[in-house]
Amino acid sequence: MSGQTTKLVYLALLITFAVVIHTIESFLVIPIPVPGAKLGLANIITLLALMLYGFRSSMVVSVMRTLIGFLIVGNLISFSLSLSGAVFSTAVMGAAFILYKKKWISILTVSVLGAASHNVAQIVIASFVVSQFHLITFYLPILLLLAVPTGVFTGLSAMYLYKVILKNVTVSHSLSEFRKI
Amino acid sequence: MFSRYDFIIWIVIVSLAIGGIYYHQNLVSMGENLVEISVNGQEYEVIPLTDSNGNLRREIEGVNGLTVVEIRDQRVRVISSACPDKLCIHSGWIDRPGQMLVCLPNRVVVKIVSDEQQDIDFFTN
Repeated sequence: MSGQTTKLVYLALLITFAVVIHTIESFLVIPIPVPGAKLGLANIITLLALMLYGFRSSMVVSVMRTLIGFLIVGNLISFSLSLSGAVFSTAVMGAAFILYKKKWISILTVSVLGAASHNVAQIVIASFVVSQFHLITFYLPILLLLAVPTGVFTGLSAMYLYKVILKNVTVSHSLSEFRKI
Repeated sequence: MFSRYDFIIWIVIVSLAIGGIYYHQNLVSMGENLVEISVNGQEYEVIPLTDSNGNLRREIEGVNGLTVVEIRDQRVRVISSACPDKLCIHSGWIDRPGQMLVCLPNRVVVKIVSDEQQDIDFFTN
């Protein structure tokens, strides 16, 4: 396989994993009932794509995940919520990843920032849906607090997945395609 | 593994969250509590919470269908709603100003507002 094809296959696999997590997540009920909001566990895969292939690929993975997730579960509202959450959190994580490469912040902080921005985008869109901006001040503190454990969980998962991938993919010829970070 | 920038970012996020929650916990009603129901951003009905010692029910026509709201013993809840996730029903009762019940698919928002709102510090002064 040429390098480009290898990357294509791996990105397709990452999108598949992300869609599965996205679908399972939509069946989870958050203990604090926040309208339409998701925890953003699929950010694990977005972060992994960011670590492996860089910003543009991770944006492709997260947007494709919400598009395919929309076809499997959900309606137009949950689609707009998850799309805004995915795009905004990927953008923020992409920016934070530059700081990570400069060794200013840890990958867990990148992930927590991603989770926080995911929740911020979702609650802003939700408040637009019902035209009640009071929604932001009421739910945002709870969502920000929730972003810390979620962010730590997704960050740790992505970290360990990255280690496992680097260790096991060495045997094949695709490692040269992975970005060194 | 962690630098001081990490700690700054984490502390900012957590303190924003705790500050926001603390602010909402300490909104104390000074006047009369009102139940404000809105559909699609437009005010639908305002009912005083206090004159609900009986069993008050309202059927609200939302975007998808009916949302039934019950006001009883100075508390409000959603009994049934034409939405897929039923999060508004799972929210249970609310009774303090600032709290709200939201049914996103049906665009129905039920919130408790107060004539006047003051922080708890007002009392200690």
